[in-house]
Order: sequence, then C-alpha cells, then structure tokens
Amino acid sequence: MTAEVDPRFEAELRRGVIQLVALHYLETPRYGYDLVRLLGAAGFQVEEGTLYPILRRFEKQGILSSEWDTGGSRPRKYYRLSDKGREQKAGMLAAWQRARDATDEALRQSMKEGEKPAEETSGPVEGEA
Amino acid sequence: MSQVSDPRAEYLDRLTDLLPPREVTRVRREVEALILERVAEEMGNHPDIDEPEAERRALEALGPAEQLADEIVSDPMTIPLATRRLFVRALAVVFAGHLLLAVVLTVAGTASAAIPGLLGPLPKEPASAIFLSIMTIFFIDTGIVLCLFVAMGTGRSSRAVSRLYVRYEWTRRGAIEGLVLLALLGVIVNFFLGRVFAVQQGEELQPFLATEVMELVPYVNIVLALFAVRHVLTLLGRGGNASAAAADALACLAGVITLILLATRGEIVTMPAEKLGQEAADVLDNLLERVLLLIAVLGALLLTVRFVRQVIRCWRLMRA
Repeated sequence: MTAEVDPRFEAELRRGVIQLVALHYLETPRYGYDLVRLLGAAGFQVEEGTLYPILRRFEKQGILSSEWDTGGSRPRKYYRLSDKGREQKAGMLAAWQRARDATDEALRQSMKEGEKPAEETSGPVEGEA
Repeated sequence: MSQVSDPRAEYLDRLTDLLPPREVTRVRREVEALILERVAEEMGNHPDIDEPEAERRALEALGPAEQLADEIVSDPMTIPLATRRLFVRALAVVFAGHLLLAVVLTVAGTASAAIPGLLGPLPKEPASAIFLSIMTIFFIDTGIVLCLFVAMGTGRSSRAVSRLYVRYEWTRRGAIEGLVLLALLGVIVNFFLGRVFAVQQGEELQPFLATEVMELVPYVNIVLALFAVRHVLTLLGRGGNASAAAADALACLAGVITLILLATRGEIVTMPAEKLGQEAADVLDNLLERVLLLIAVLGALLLTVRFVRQVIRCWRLMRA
C-alpha cells in the first residue's frame, strides 16, 4: 500500500513533466483530445482545461505550429512541433535528465547514510532530543 | 415562454467575456472543438449516456470558465501583493508632492491654477471644499499612477518606484564639489545677477529681471545656505544621518517655496524698450516669462519629489 501523497506536490511535479511529454508526442501532428488520450494512456491523467492553455502558450511562443482540419465530421486543430520546438524539447529533456540524476543521487546518498549504524551518522540519536 | 439553456454556449460566453477582444474568436473556436471532440468520445465510450451528460462531462474537464480564462491570458488577472505595495508607495509619494505644491500655491496666494485641471491653490473655506479638493488631488494622482503602472508594466514600475528608496551617494568629494558649486551660485546670484540676466544696449548691459524678482535674492540665499548645511554635515561624516536628510528636505522645501514665489510674481521680465522697440520688447518679455515660468514649475516639481524622498529617508533612518 502506498502512502497518501500531498496533491499539491504531485501537481507541481507533473506540471513541468507533462509539457515535456506533450512536446514528445507532438513530433507527429495531433489534435487536442488525441493528446489528452495519449497522455492518459501513459499515466498522466490530464484534463483539457490543463492541457489547452499549455498548447496555446507553446503555439504563441512558436514552439508548436498548428493547422485546422475541417474535412471531417468535427473541426480539429492539429498541433505539431516546430523547429524551435525541437530545440526547446532538447533543452527541456536535458534539464529533466539533470534533475532526475540529481534527485537519484541525493536519494541514493541518504539511503546509504540510513544503512550506517546510528553512532556514525551526524543526526540526533533517537531518544536523545 | 421557457428558454432552453445551452450549457456549451453559456460556458463559451462566460469564457470569452473574460478574454481580450483579439483572443475571443480564436479561443472560442478552439475550445468548442475540444468540447465537441470530448462529447463524441464520451458518447462513443459510454453508449448509456445522453448528449447533455456527455457535454456536462466535457465542460467539467475544462474546469470553470473563469479559471480557464486566467490560464489562457498569460498575464495574471489578479494584482500580486508586491505590485500593490509598490503602487501604494508610488501613490503616497505623488500625492504628498502634489498636495505640498497645492499648499505652497495656496500660501503664496496664487489666484489661478498653475497647471489647469491638475495643479492649483486649495480653497481656504469652507472645510468641505478643502476636503473635496484634497480628495480630488488624491483621485487624480491615483489615476496618474495607475496609468503609469499600466503603461510601464509591473517590472519597470517596480524599478522606478524602488529608485525612490535608493540611498543617495553622499561622499566627501561630492560634498566638496557641491559646496564649490553653491559658492559659485551664491556669487552669481548676489553680485552678477544683473549682468547675467541682461541684454547689451550700446555699450551698456541692461538687466531685464523685474525688481520683484530681484527682491527674491535673500530667499535664494537661504536655499543655498540650507544645501550648504547638508554638504557640511556630509563632510563631518554624518552623510547617512537623519539630520543630513532633514537638512536636504528643508533645503528642497525652501527651494520649492522660492520657485513658487518666482512663478507668482506679477512681473518677471522687463525688457528695455528704448532700442528694441515696444513691440519687440513685449514679445521678448512674453517669451522669456514663459521660459522662466516653465523652468520654475519644473524645478518646483523636481524639488518636491526630492523633498518627499528625503522625508521618507529621514523617517526610515530615524526608525532604524
């Protein structure tokens, strides 16, 4: 059984990652709801109200280009990664890897310290307070 | 007659009502496409639900229209605390300066506005008229500061306001330079004013400043002396002291009063008409008077701002 996580922590953690994953999926043209579905299948339960402002901001920044398809039963706006978006994605990926490596390293170190006998650690000894 | 409610149209209306006009058409189209897509998906995945229920779910996935509008507009629609505080500080400085100038104009007995609609003397009675005039100044200044904040944006406004609190660099070298400059000004004002503000007539220099203006020389001397006191306090190693800030504030106030007195003289310039001719002398009179008035008003405004800054600084130093 996993412990309950503070929803704010999870929301903050996911906010940046969703942007990176969305850019990754947009290497091929996709419409908004298609992306929601793909993200959901990958484990990111994201609603349109969260994703739409992100797509809009990326489009404004020139990271995404878009095109309307009005040929089908419903009009669909397809988004696709632009050249600038590819550079942006590479930068975000590098930042993500740095953060992930640093987190892993910090957690590994603290776990090693936790395995040491109590007298070797610098923290207070249980019961001393 | 009953009206059939359309939640989708209602949602889009609420959303677009909160957006800048240039964004409305585009956002409406994009969000409507998202809703339609979700409705179709919901109905395809859940054959037991009807269209209104599918639409309700689609709208729920978008969240409240107000929240979505906030997310879409890149600039936050709420004013952050820091900006509010900066606004209040800027307003306090502008209002204090404006009120001070109005009080000085009142004391000087000015009959008409210095800047029509913006700066003029306060009424002397009844109390309700004085109160309303002060409130008018407050609301005018609120509008001016608000326009400046909107035009400059939060970042530049913050930097501009923070400059109000920047510590003056009062160095010993600066104080010596200041004293030398003040001494030079003192010599010019007391001994060469009639020669500097003069026109050549044949072999003679004819001063053109009116007698009323020449009578203000003692006031100018007081201003120069007060600024000199400030420099002396700096030289004595008390530059960062509240007394030096107070001396500077006092000098600025004296400067404002002197400039207002200059601006409210009945006659500022009297051009000699003998050689110039009456018409040319009148034109030059008028032109020079306007230039001097402009300099006096601008100088008074700058000194007022400096006075307010120094009062704030003095207050902060005393509290520290």
